[in-house]
Amino acid sequence: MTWTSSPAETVGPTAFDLRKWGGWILSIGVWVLPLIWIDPTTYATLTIAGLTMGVLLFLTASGLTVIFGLMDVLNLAHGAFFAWGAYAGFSFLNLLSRKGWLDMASLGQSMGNLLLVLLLALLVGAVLGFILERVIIRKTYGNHLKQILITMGAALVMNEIIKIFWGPNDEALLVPAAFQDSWIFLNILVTKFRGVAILVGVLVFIGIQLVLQKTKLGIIVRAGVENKEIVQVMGYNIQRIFSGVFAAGAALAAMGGVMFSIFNGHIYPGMGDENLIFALIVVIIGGMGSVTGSFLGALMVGLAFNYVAFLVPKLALGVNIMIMAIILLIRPSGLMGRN
Amino acid sequence: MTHLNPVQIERLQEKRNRYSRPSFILQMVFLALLLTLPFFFSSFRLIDVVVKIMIFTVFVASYDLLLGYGGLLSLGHSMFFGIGAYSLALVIYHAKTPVWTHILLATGVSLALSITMALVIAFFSLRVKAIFFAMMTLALAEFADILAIQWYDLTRAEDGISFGLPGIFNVSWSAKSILGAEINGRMMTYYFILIVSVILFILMLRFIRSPVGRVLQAVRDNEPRATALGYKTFHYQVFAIVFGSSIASLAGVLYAMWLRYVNPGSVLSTPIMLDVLLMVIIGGLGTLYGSIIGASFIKIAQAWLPDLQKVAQEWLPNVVFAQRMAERWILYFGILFILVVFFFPRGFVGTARDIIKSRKVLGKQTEVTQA
Amino acid sequence: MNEPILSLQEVHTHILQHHILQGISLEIKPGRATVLVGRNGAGKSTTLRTIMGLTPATSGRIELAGQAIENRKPFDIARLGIGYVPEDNAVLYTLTVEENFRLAMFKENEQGWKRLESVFQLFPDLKRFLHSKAGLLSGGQKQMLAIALALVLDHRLVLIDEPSKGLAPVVVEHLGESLNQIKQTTTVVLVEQNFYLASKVGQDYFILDDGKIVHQGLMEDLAENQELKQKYLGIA
Repeated sequence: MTWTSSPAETVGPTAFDLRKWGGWILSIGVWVLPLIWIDPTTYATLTIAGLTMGVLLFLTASGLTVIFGLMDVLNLAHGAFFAWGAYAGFSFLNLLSRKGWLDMASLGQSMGNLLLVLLLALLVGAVLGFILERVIIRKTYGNHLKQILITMGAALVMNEIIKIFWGPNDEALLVPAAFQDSWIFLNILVTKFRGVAILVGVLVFIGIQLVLQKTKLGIIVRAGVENKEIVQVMGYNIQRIFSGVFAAGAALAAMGGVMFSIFNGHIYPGMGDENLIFALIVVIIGGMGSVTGSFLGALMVGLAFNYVAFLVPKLALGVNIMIMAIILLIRPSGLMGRN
Repeated sequence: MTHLNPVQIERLQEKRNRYSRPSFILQMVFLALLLTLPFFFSSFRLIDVVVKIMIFTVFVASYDLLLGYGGLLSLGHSMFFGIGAYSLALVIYHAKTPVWTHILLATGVSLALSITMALVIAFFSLRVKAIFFAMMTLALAEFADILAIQWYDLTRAEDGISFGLPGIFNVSWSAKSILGAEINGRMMTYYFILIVSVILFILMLRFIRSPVGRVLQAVRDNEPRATALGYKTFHYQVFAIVFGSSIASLAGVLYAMWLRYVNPGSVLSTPIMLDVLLMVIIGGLGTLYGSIIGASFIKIAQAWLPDLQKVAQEWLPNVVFAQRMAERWILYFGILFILVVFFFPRGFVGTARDIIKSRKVLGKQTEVTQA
Repeated sequence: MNEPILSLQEVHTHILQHHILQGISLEIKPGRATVLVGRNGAGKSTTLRTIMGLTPATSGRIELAGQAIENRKPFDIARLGIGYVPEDNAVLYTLTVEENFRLAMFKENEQGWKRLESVFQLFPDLKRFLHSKAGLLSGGQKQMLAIALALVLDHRLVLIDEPSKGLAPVVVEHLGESLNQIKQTTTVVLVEQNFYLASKVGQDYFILDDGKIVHQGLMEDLAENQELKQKYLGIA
């Protein structure tokens, strides 16, 4: 049997396909271009800040994109999981602080504390996600309008409940002491928490990729993204997989909430919605349903935001929308999206 | 005399009956009530709620054009409302001594801005998937909100912009009182808003019955089929987005006229979008008249629900949790919203129409059996 | 006469407001290859989808070896031992051939991999492309893979929906031989438009028209009966 090639692939090597390569050029350009205006030391600092922001965004965006790809659900309650994670982490850190655990200076002990907080956030997110999927979202599969409205209503309710429990105001977060120190490499100041955050984010990305590419569950999920019917007639209970994936996505968002609140040092009830918007932009840029796309998109958004905030502060907020518009112009389905 | 087809005959009959149908009489009574309201009630709170209901009816109806008639879920409709409100506020604020042409200018600016934005959004998001439209509009609206909060030099952020209206709309303007009611700037603004709202509402009613509106509904129901019939569905959707957004921005202009103050929280933020969604769902999608019910329900609830807080403070002075529960009345809107979407998806007007229809069918059946 | 492995009694199915199956009753005998034939839109594919629970029956009874399955979910029905090869997109394009097989195996165990070896004997091509994405296979290979996926488990019954669709005659010929081998070991229900393939593989037949069974019998009789073929299948 022969491999048949479609007409599109027979274009000669001289023809430059902007649609195919434009996204990549842009994603590399975001890294390189600022070097023209920014001196290397500042560039390095900004890059680290951008990467931190990027991986933190990825934590929320990854769940959003997988849930969209697999279940065809645009989950607007995703930001609420983020906020719930942050508030659960806030309470837990307060508890740890009362026991005097946060003052311990060693980085290892702080990491231990962080791990505890993250585990708690994961648990909170997973439980909330599981309940939401079971009670509300399950009844709306296949109806986009209903889903969007329902998840929006759920987000509203969840945010209001946060205000009932924790009050409507900003709260300062108690950050483990060791995270506030910095490392210095070659004159570049790196706050320790940024290093930790980048590490955690990259580990999560690698973890998700390993699960998706190497495990049976990953095969089922990827198959489900492509064709839900086949997965069912092969004997898999897709409902159960939906619940699991939804809970996992919610857990990741909650974890992102904790990381983000430690990064920022304070929490507020509207933080979930704000983060959701960034995550949506990331998912659109990366291509809906693609984890790798989300990762690239998140890094792009994080980096661009930081570079532009340094160069032209006024433009910083618009730059994400601009990147999104450019990506959509050259690749309507996002960096890694399938048509 | 040429032959008439059944559709034309029905339309002729409809035209003949136009002024004697119960719904027409109801509309007239309603209008008469609104026209005479300021003479009977001088309570500012009541007039304020009524004006907000009128403006939001127009706003919600324009949203219904997109969602109910076009099947286009926009989550950024509040942005257009904000564009309208800010256009008026900024033009008049910078005009120093405003005259009535500034209102005209502001209207022009808001229309130009909203049409441009609507075209951009439609161009970017309609090409891929319907759900993209929801995501894009949500992102853009949120962006507009952040922009208004951050760009202090232009919008004065959360401080907002206060301004006085020109001529007879100014609060300090007043004339002789008629029938015991004082004719003042507020009253003039009330009548202006009433007239414009009614005109805009009628315009939208005409739109959904126009050929363009009918094709739009066909696209909503079955896009491949409408395409196969030779309609450029994309054009109709773009037109609906531009039309609906323009009307939303005009509603924004009216709202700013009434408040004489704008800030992001009052004209641009997500809670406004949530209100609109709630109103359109409660009233009933694709009914247009539902927007009156939805807007009335929510605006009245918003005006009087905060009193709940006082009740809680009086009855349970020591229970902080209960007071917080009462304070968060938006929570109950959220729960109501979910319940309505689940159990009442056709909304008030939609469900009422279903009931009337089934009654009519029943009536016809009994007629047949009696005959 | 042994018990039917699958029986449908007065099965009605609606898709939205359309009444697609209007009282289908049929019995599939174990160990035989049964073909459902009929015009486009007669309800053949819907019959298979209804058996699998993908478009659930609105009324009627479906029994697999005496056990009622009409109210079960698709994954449950599959676990009871029915393999199903859908008409379109029967393989997962973004997965490799190997991953497709791992998915189809459900529980990956010694026995499964052993069965896979015997499947490879049937379709040797697939072994060569084990690590390429299924989407890159040719149309014929995709169809082979689709059928192979239904064979890696020890199903009592395999439902195959129009395997010959869009394939070149020489590939159809090859497919027919494979199907003839498969029917030695499993009960096969085949929906087929291509009468050549249907008559080559089938032993029993049912003719569907407008959502009803209009004729049934032995394949060798149908092959002879010009009148029937003309009336329901449009073959001269």
